Amino acid sequence: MRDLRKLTDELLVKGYMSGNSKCIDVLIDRHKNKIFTYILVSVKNRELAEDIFQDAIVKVIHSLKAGRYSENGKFSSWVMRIGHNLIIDHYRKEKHLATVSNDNYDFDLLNNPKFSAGSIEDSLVYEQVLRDVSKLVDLLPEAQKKVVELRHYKGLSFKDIAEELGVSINTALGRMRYAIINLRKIAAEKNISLSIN
Amino acid sequence: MNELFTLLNSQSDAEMEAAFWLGVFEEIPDELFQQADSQPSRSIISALKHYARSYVSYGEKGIVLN
Repeated sequence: MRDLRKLTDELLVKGYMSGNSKCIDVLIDRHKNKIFTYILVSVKNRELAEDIFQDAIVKVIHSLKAGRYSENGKFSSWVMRIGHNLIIDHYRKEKHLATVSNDNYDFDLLNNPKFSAGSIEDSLVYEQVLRDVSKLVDLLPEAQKKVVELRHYKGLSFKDIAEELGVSINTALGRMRYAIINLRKIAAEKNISLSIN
Repeated sequence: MNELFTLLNSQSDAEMEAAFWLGVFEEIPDELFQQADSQPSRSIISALKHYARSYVSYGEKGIVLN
């Protein structure tokens, strides 16, 4: 067990997939706090966070044993995205919205193939939405606009954004949150659909 | 840009919050959480490990455990 703790996530995943059940113990111990904290911060209810955490890990186990994991980024990010989809499912069930379920971790919101490939119609819609978003970003207060540009157009981390703007990370995060709230508000006011689905 | 679309396509503030935090947490190194105060309860971890060890497959026969 001690030796297993020295292995990378990738090797532990391979070990579990090929039958060494001790590997999953190490993976759970290594990542449980981060996954749980992300869920707890999002849902703000410990009991609910524990339910979603359990469901997420069970899905991870099913996926690994079914060979549905491919090395494509960090293991913890993959598990967090499974948790994220379960959080979205929870909110949508709670509101009784008739929406497509995200309870299918083969479909990844952050890697939606519609962003990269699809019909000509999809591409046209995507390009239109891109233009609309750019126009909306222009309407944001300067400080928020700058954070959105650095984050989503230049791909900078919040740490780098904070350094670039000479503000704290908390300030950069706060500006980003207000920017998103404002973008959605402006889109609603102007009756602009930002949906690509 | 995908992260921005996920945020903007959120159907509620709660969904937006979850998408926002996902982007933030993905940036934070895993190691920083080793000693984190917020942890799932030990009984849950123990049950999950037991489940993971005994899990064999999921298919037509349902969940097969050892």
